[in-house]
Amino acid sequence: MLEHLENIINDIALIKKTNKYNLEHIDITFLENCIVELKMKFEEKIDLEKVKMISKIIYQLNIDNTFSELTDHISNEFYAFEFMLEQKIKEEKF
Amino acid sequence: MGEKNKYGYKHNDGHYSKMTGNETNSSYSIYDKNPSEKNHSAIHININTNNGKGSIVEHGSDGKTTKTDTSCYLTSACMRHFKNQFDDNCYELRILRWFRDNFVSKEDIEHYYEIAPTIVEAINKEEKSNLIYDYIYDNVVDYCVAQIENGNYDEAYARYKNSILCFEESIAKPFLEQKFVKTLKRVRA
Repeated sequence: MLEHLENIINDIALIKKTNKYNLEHIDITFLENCIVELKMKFEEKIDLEKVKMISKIIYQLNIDNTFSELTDHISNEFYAFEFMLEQKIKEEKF
Repeated sequence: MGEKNKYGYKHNDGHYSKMTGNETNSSYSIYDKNPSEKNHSAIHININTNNGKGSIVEHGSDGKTTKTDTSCYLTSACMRHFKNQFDDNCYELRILRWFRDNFVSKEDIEHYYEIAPTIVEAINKEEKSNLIYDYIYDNVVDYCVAQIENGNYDEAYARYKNSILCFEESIAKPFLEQKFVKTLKRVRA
């Protein structure tokens, strides 16, 4: 599960290296920090509201960049993370 | 609908689909194969739920991207005119967008995007929609581009604005009235 967050962190690093991405509505460093925090605190406690907020930021990043390869990869990785998180929560309930 | 896994819904023929969105926008994405695989192609259908504006983004497996605005009749006219050669970033649309961003008032832009989706919907329902789009291409797109190129901005603005009023009266309003009557009949039945 955490490998998806790791992949996103790597992708964000690539975005930060160039200036070809539209970051008009996005604070990319804030997004990066949120993902790092999510990864660090994963074993302790997951803030579901924060997950929802990150999901919206990633969507905005993707739509602002017309679903570019890199931003769509971030979106797909976070979708995978959310899916697995949902499965994990369901399993823990039972 | 296929079975959901971490990459989206997997369909029987191997393609994937998924929904993403936030408070104002929703997107339905379709991938020809698992999106985690390299060289996949995809179509993203986007709609702004506040203003009804939409777009279709297509990514080929060769990395080529095309974006089409689905709620603009000027774009639709260009699409019909250029057919397979259509490029959303074509010269005509770039000129018109430049003109819109630099000369058209905020109120007129808002009005256009309010009424244009209805005009597009109404034209598309017409049997001879191609003729209407040809007319729009020749008399609005082509004409306005020529005026803008010659610096006749007032003339371009007048034609652009008149076209909206004309299509609103002759196409959008009758279409909405018809729609309203049909709904009313259904409710009363």
